Amino acid sequence: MKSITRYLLPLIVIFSMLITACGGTATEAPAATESVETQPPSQATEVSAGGTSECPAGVEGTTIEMWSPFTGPDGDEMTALAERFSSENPCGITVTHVAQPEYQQKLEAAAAAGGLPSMTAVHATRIAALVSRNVLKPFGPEAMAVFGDDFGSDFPEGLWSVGEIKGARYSIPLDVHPLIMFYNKDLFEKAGIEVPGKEPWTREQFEDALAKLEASKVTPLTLGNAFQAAALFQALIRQYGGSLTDAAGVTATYNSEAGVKALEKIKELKDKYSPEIAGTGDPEVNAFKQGNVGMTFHGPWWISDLEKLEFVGFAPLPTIGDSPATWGGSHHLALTTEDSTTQAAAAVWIKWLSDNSSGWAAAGQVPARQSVRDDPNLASVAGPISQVAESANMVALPTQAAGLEGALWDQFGPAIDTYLAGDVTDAQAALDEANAKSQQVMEENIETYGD
Amino acid sequence: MVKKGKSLSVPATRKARKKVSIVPYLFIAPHLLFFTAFLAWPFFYGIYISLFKFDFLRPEKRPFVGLKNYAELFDPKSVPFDDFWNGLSNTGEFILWSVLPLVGIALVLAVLLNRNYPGRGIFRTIFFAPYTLSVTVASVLWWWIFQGQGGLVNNILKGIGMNPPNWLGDMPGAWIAITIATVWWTIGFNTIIFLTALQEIPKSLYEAASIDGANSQQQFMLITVPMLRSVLVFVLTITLIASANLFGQPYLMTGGGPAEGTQTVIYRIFIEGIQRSQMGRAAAMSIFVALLLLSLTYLNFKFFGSTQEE
Repeated sequence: MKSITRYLLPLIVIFSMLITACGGTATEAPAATESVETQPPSQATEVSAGGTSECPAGVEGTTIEMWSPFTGPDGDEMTALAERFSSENPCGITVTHVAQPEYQQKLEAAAAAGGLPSMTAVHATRIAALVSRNVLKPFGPEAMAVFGDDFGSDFPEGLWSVGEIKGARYSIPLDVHPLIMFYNKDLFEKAGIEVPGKEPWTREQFEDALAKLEASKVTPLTLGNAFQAAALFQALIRQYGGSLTDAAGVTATYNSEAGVKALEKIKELKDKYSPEIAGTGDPEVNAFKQGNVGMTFHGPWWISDLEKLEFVGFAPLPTIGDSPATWGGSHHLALTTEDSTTQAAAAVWIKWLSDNSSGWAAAGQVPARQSVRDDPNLASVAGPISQVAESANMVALPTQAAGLEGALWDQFGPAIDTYLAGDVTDAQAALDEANAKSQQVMEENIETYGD
Repeated sequence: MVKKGKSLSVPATRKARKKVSIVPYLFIAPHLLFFTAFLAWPFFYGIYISLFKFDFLRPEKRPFVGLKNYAELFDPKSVPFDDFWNGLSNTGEFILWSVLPLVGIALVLAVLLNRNYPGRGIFRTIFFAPYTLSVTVASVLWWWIFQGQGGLVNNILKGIGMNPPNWLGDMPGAWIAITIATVWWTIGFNTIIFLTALQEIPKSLYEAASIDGANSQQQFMLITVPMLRSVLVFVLTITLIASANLFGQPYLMTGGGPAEGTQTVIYRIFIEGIQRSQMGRAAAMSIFVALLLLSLTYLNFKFFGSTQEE
């Protein structure tokens, strides 16, 4: 036996060294090739379109590698923006954009293996966990200087504040993706409904439209379950004056009266106006696309697809409850390096991208900045987005706490589906049970990630 | 395997033992290396992780918790209890759905493919072909076929005037869809194993039986099945284990729904470990499931695998 171990041990050691060595090169190699491919043409000295700020010291020649979860057509849009910036910026900064499928896992594996890029796009709800887990690094003074003092005042307050944790800035909001309304222009016209404008419909307008659609013998709307129902629930609970948690994000409160009203309202709309639809893969939108449905509610990532259909119009989520509000997610830009020069160079790019986020709107996202949304140019670059831009002010992101979104959604999601399927009939009891479970998971998260 | 004869004498054996040759170890070394790196090491590291509250990105907060991660799985008041046992019972349900068709249909297919007719090779290829696809391709394909809005199955059902069920969003439709997708995707593997085993059965047995007047059904029950017994146990065991590892199909086809009804235990482990970063707990769940499968396999061999005749 001894002789076996004598040969085996060194072999295992050598083998494991080989594996780690391979891992290291594998993560670095794509970065190297990417940057070669997207080297800016050196003669590009034309004036930049976005009015770039002055260049921080030492950023000349810096290469910023940015990762994102944008694996669809939006990824191509981001790559094009990165290339435009690389050729236009007067500071000699090069940005390479790499869209990563299975994004969360890639980012975490890279963090563990020491192969993180310079910066990354992240979902707003994940910032706290990624900060606690040492993936994101705060913006240092050099980077903050690039933005100037009142940069934050151009963003909706709730959107800007989620990027700040314990007094340090960890992210800059890029966009909002709110739950919006898609409607069928032809059917609306036939039913005698005035097409919605940029302001959300009032409840009277919404109910009137449902009645008219019903009278004109078409399916008024499609409501499914899964994502759509869960997002609508989160929108309606706020429309009825409630919220998922208390302000500090430590107590789950969605079994409130507003929560029950929201859930019962979805069930009522679904039973009364929608055909039976359920399942993943957004069947409610697929049904709407067939052209005989008045309206449906979903995310703006559908816009690039639906835009191709002549009859589709876009509007903010109507007021179904008492006051306008909607659900929404948000992409933020965050740093994964502590090097102050790289940070400053990344900040120049982030600021440029933010200034030019009407270009990003073309990819189907609502720009986070008020000034960009107010820009009359937005309508020509991204017509549908300008129709729903008001939604950005109707969104309230959950309080920034590690794992909070999962703690809530993983519990109320199935509860909503069970209730909508008719397997349980007591909305209050269904939400009570889910709420208690959320509370338990939230307490565990606080124990895990709290100080 | 021991050679009979004078060489078996005691001193000679001792002498041989002293002189250990490195050659056999070199032969198994490549396999052993990969086995160690990708099976043995992760397995033991998994046991180690399961004793901690473990997050690989937070080495500074990694308290040793002993057997707490295991104890939680049996404490109805703990955070993971409901979801874990829901996942386990869903996995059990899928095993009930899938194992019989996966073994039964494979056996029938193998018998059919073992006959002599033109184009036999083509059919063998066709039935095995889906197995070479990835889980993603197979699942997305069947998602498209079963999905409610414009999916193939429901379009046909509507066409013949039926009110089609909501396959992926309802029970038992979701299990039926997942089972059909899985059978289509993996049946080729079991079929090939049965086919090889069938070809090992001596033709003379069938000839003798047919001379004695046994019809083909009797031949199947009295010759084929008994002769396949050990292979059957093997196929049953690997099918059981494969079914217990169900993850990709519900992940892609139903998202674990409706209402977590197809969220299997592996799916749950994925959520705990990868999405919630509770890797210690996920490791404990994995070990528990592994032990469960081990005992199932043991029972399987004990009850069906006794080979007294041999």
